[in-house]
Amino acid sequence: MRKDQIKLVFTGNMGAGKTTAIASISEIPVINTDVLMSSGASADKERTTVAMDYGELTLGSGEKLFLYGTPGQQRFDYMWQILIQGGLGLIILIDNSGDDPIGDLARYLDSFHDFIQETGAVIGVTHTDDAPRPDLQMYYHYLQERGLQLPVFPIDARSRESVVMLIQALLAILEYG
Amino acid sequence: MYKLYYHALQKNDPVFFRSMLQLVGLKLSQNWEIDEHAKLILVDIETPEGQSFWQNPPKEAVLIAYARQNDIQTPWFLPKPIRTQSLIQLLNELAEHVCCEDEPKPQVNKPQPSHADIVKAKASNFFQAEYYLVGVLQQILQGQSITRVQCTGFPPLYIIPEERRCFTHQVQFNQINTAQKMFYAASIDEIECETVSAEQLQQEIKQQHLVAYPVETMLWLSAMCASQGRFSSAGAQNKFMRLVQWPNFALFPYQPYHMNLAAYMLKNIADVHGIAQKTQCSLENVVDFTNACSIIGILKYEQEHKIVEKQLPEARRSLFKTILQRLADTVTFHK
Repeated sequence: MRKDQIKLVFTGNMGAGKTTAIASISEIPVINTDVLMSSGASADKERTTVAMDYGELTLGSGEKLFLYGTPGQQRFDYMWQILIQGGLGLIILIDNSGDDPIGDLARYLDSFHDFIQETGAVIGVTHTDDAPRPDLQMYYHYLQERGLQLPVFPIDARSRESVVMLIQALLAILEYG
Repeated sequence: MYKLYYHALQKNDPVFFRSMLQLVGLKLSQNWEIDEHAKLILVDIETPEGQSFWQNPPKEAVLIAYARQNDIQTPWFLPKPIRTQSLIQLLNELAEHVCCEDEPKPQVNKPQPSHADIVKAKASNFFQAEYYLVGVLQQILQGQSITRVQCTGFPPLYIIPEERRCFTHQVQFNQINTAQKMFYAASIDEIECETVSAEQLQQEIKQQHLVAYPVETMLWLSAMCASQGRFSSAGAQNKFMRLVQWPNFALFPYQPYHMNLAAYMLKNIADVHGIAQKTQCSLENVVDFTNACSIIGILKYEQEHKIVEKQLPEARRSLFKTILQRLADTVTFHK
């Protein structure tokens, strides 16, 4: 993995939709290292990503935009710092139907603190139809308490429009924020 | 809008308090918001910092004690931990007995403007929301009745104020046509409002396959379409402003430049001319955006400007443009 790659990094808790989000915009089938779950952090997910997801998009200039997804389980978090090296910015996906979505967000903000300060981040909240709470205001209140002004959008990771919206917001932050 | 703030709350209490305030919102007699300049201040008097603040409050402040017991027997008291019922009771009493002394209550039933006034407003160089659909929606939201908003030749729009939801035919966010824009920009004399029952609404939803939207979606659309690049007042063009949070672009039709405006206005405090210059947006587009943000309550005016200079290498700017173009290949955006 070259440091001068043009890349975006997707992170978030298990089941938040990182693999799906990358697949929705990647022009190649997402390459990942899914394995069967041995013991269950999530009862309704049989496979999880242990190393990383990988997708790509060829830009008009012929260069490639690389899309990386971090492993969802925290025991693989040593991979996170490797994956973010040289990244343009971070897309954090939070599963709103999890036990503690705000706590999950806190964990990613802490883990990627330096990277977010140097670049930028956007937050996509998934599964809000099934789990409307915490609502967006609760996320914004939490971010405000941390002195952060990151955008939070409810998204459907399967929707290309949703994922494009996240990337547009991220690039706007990097250029104008 | 009634305002309050807090001081010396511990750990997660600020987040919890804000969440509870939002949670009880529908049961309050008035709308409340957290504002650091509010005269009403909730103080945790069980902390040294809170006790000190309680002893030396700012001039004109009205303090609310936050503690397990009201040992100091103050009239304005919120018991720990915060419970919905005690918060509702406190805020409704404050709205009635304290706030009304210096803050006017929102006007609910305004007299209908004359035809001459409407003609004048439409021809005006200034955007006066109350003369358009957006103003009608705001007025309906101050009441409690489910209301059908109808404009000749267009599908009806049903508003449920208590749920801050509306029902209408499905809106294709990326394909809003000229006719729809005409509806969202309708002036008050083109609009008919009628109260309907919950049963009638349910019937309409079923028969016409209506779709639910948050009312903010319609406020945003109607403000965007009616604004037409006009300032909200003569002084608006010189006011310094910023956004307090991102517009929820998942619910609003947007153009990519709206993202740039939001990112810039979250970080900087500037007037519309400065914003237009730094984001390379037309002044008209900036004004429409700021009017819409103001309508949905995420725009704040400030006394002084604050600009964070950012130097981005041209190569990086060019790269971002290339990425956006590539992403736009299969996703088109229309205002």
